Amino acid sequence: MNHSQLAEIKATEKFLLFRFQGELYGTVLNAVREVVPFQTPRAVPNTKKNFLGIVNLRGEIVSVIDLRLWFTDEKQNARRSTSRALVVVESSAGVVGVAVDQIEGVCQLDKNEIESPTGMPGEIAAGGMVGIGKFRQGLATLLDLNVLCGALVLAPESRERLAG
Amino acid sequence: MGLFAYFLMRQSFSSRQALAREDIKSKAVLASQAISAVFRERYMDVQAFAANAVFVGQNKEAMTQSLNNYVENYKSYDAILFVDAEGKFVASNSKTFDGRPAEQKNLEGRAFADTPWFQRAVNGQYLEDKAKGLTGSVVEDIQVDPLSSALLGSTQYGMSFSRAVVLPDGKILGVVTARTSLRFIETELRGVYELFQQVGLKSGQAMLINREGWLVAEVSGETVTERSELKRNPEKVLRWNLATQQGQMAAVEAVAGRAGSAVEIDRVGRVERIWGYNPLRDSRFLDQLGWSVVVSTVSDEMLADMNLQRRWFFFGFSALLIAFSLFGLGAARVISREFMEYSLRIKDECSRLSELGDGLNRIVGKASNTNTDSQAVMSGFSSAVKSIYAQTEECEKTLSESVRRSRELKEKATVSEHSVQRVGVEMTLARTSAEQLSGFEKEISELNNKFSALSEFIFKAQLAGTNAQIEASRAGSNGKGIASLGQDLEVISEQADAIFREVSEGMGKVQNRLVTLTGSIRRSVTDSENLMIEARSSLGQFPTEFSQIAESLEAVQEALVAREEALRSVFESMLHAEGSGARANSMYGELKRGLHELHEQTDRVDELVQDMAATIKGQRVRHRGRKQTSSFSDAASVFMRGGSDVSPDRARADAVDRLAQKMRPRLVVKSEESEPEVNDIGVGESSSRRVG
Repeated sequence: MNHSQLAEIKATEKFLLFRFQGELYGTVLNAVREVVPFQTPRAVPNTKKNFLGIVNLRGEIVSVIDLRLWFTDEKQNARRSTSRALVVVESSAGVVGVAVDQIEGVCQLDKNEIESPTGMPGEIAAGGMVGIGKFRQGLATLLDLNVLCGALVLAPESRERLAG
Repeated sequence: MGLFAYFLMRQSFSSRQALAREDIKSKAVLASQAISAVFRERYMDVQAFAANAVFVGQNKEAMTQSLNNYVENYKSYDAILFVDAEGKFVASNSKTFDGRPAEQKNLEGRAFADTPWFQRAVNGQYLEDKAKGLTGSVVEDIQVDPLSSALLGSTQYGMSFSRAVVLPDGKILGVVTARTSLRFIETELRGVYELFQQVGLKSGQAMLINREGWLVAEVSGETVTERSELKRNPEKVLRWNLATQQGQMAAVEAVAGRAGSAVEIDRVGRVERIWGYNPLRDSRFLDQLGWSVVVSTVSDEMLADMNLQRRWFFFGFSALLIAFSLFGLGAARVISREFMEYSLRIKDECSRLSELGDGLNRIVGKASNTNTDSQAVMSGFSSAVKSIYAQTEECEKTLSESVRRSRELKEKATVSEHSVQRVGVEMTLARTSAEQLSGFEKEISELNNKFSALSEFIFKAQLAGTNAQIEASRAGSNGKGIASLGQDLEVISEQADAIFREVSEGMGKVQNRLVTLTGSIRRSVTDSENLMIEARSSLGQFPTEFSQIAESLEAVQEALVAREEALRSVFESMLHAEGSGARANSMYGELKRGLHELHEQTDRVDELVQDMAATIKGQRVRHRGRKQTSSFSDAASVFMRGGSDVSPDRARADAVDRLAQKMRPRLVVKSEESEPEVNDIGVGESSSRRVG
């Protein structure tokens, strides 16, 4: 994420807010295809730890990833998910379901209420972070899930299978 | 008679001794008077010498001649000196009283100014007693005279008389001093000594002592030689103190100024002497000198005639006593022989008495055995009674224990009943609570199912609202209606979620009540379990208590059996005691017969003793009456009656005492002319009248 991404945001933009491990996150509503109740994914061998598996969403295979490893690097808890919903995103890597703990809802926010992540480490900014939004529920980390999901490193065979 | 004669003899001896003492005392007085007389002469002699005009003439030869004449004529002086007024020797006698030459040269050239006699004579300090007419002379008491010793060449004892030679104008020309020998004293003492010799008292002696008790002159058998010459003992003169050294009481009394006589042991000769002493206190002697005359002679020698009479008297008196003693001895032998015969007879009778006593002892032994049996029976009876008491006490203890345990059992049963009732109540409550709990569980189960569905429904509605807004956002302005629908769905889902939360809180309360109820049920169940355990414990003790009660009752039964046996033993003991009483009665009869025989034997001994006493007395005897003489019989009769106020042991003791008194027989003397009279023979009588 960079300043160009923030510049693409309209003056007034709607964000989908969700909680993951107690923290409040948000993503541009247009980047989300839908939210569905969490389904227990089926594990796929030879994948990364944050790849929980795949689910069948109305006949469509959706990959499910876990943001926990991405945020906290807690490898030992990567497979243990308490999520209750999947935020389905159509990314460059395909349709991906992001497991979250709770859906807070849809909120509208002015652009001037979004703080740029200037001064933060570059890796974070490059990891799909848009900025910090000031919502009535509190500060929320705004994420670009397309970028985030596209940056997922998948095993070649898995990528091919997903592509196929 | 003998005592009277002895008394008369003693009186006579005392009178004779008193006369002898007076005789000795008179001799002391006589010697004192003679010495006083010659002393006065010597006292006056020196004054006469001093008046001689020869001393005025200053002619030494004439003086010497005059002094020789004095010495020769008076025989009493050893030396007579004349010294001038300055004390220088002038003249002295040149011969002794018996005509021997004197060593006049020993005195020539000597000065006597410092001598006491010279100074006193010059100063007129005389030893005098004007009341007695003795005045004008200086006197020195008897001593070792240095002037006489120097003149005669040997130690001389004597006294001095000095007088100043005074001229008519009062000028002192010189001093005349006359040194006497002891001869003028010894001559007078010898006169007394010769008086003793004239009456045959060879032990007589006469002594003169000065005021301190020292011996001055002595005339005795020791000092008078066989040729009637008098010699002095230099170891005694002025070296032998009769009063302080010898402690002779006659000398002590004389020094104290008392005259008298005494019979006293001579402290030197260790023989009894009769002493006469008299201090010189008459008108011709100076009391200041304090001389005393002591005269004595051996007592046996002076009282020889009286001692001879006394010896004859004691000889006759002793012969008389021996004669009486021989007579008494013969009489005693005769009486003793008869006494021996009677003693043998009494011995025989006492032997019989001893046999009777042995018989009585055997009877008493049997009675003692019977008494021992009775004691054994009574002991058995006592032990049986004690056994009955012990069994009864044991039975009472057992019954008390049974009652106590029954009461405890009843209390435990009551507690168990209450516990069971409480268990029933608690179980009912628990059953009701369980039923309520089961209803709650069903309801909660249903609500949970509904809540699950509702929660799913609300979650799906929320997601649907979110998706609607997503779709509306994609649709842009065309999707506003969907967006509002999604917002409504979201609002509805939020309201449903709020309701869901309230219901969830209500469910929490219900769950809390359910937890409380469950706790109460658990407590009730726990109490019920405890009560059940207690009730089970109480009920479990019932068999043990019942078994103990049964054992107690068995013990009571055994105690009753033992008491029955003890009663049987008491019955047997009483039968045995009855047999012992019969045997005791039999022993009492035998004892009564034995005492009767003892009584008769005692009477025989009594008659024998009286007969013996009469034989010794040599007179006829008769009894004063059996009742008065047979005290032992009285005691025995009291004992045989089983006296109400005297115990058998006391009666026997009294009988023995009275038998002892019977050995001192009370005799009734029957004379030919008078009525019978009682004559008690006591212990203090003469041995010839003693019979026991």
